[in-house]
Amino acid sequence: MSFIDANGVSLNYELAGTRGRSVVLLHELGGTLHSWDAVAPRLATRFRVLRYDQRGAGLSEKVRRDFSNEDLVEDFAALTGAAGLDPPYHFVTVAAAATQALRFLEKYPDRVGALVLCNPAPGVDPSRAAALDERAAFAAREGMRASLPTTLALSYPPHLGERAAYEAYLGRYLANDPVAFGLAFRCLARTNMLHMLPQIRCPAMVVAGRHDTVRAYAGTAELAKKIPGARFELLEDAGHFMPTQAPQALVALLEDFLPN
Amino acid sequence: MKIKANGITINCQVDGSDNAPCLVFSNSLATTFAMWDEQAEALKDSYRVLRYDQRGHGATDAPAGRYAFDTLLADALGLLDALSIKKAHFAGLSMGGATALGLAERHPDRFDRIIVCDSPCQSTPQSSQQWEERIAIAHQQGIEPLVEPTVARWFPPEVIARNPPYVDKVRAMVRNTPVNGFIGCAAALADHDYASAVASVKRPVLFLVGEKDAPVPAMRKLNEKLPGSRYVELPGAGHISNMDRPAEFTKAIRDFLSAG
Repeated sequence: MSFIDANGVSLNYELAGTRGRSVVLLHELGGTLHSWDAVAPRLATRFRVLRYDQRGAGLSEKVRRDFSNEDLVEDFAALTGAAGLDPPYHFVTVAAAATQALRFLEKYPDRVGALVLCNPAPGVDPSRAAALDERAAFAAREGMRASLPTTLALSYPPHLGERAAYEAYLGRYLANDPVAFGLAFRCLARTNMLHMLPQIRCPAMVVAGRHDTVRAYAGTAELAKKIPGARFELLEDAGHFMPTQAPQALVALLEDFLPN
Repeated sequence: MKIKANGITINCQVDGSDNAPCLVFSNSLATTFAMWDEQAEALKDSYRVLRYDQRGHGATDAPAGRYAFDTLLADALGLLDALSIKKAHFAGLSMGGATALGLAERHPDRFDRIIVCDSPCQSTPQSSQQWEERIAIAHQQGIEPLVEPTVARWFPPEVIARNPPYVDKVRAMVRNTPVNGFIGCAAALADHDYASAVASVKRPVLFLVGEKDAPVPAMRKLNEKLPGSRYVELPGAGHISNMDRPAEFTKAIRDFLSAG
């Protein structure tokens, strides 16, 4: 593991691969860089692959102040600068992390090579903010285990993918700092990047999991239609968390799609 | 009982004396008039309680296509006509709440007091987008993938963690919603606005909302814009506030209807 103090927070990251384009793997809310354990090594044979723990997650700094999607994007910019990873970047995101790639694209359109959005959650209706804040406060107050019934128990059926991968995921999930986990929910509640979908000009692929219980695949297919020329793929054996539920199928798609 | 009105058959039930003042209850999307069981039981001693299944819900007809919200108003009015009810109090929650406010604006001569629960009474570009995604899901995958996300959205985390029987009752109602009815009414919800003209309402209005429900800010604004209206927030309640806090909900209605 490597740490960089960037944009005012300590970030834990891993950079693998010595050649090829820069691929950035952004984990989902509640995940860590280990969400990509079964994906990153294979991509690293062809690409330079960066993955890191978002602020508040994994082994990155456990912040106590509200942060915004903008802060997360600046974390990324500072981290890549310090780690020496050059643009253009191919982003691969899961769920809410799509908001970061979309904001980065908005700010630095010439620094994005391609976008792969897995079960994207590109924005939240402002009317939902109070409910997400409530979920954040609940996690901070009651802890991760008490939050399971409204979070992972709904979104990650244990039978999807390998059992060991689920159990490892659950272990990492419960190890989240509940306050920082809540702050990530509060951040998401104030983020909406839907307006960017029709403005995407780089190669883009949207990947849905047939068994996604958070964002049903038909809704994701609908969303993909808003991106000009986007490719849409449905992974038969995946749900919301495809890097751990169907890593091989995802890697095959990425190897096929990502420009080298 | 089944009543022909506005070109469809509407399923409804009357509890209480025919001589008592009439109080109508209108359900939310993906529920039925059974959502009002506790209120009907508690209020039938003082009111002629008329509950009906909104178009596309329960045992009311569910024609195919996208419904206009004004059609939902016409259904309610047609039902009152068919039952020869000249004047009634009207209460509704969420979709039923917008129905209540719409009726107050358009047909003040037919209604006495109006109770608007858990509804912002207007769509926004973001909420329209979300409804269109849910319509696509219902169209392609049916109601099942919408069940748990809907329940998770409606109830506060504490309630879901406890999973009381009434949450299962709601789950079953959502699951049994006809696809045609869901799509038709979701289309109505994606395009409605009874909030802009709220100041024109000439009837006494109670705005009643769960403290933890998303429309709280919107409903506070509605209350501010309508001189003489009342506003009650139910502590601890989420979107289906009448089921989260049945006794307090019923008391708020009783107090409002009996106030001088």
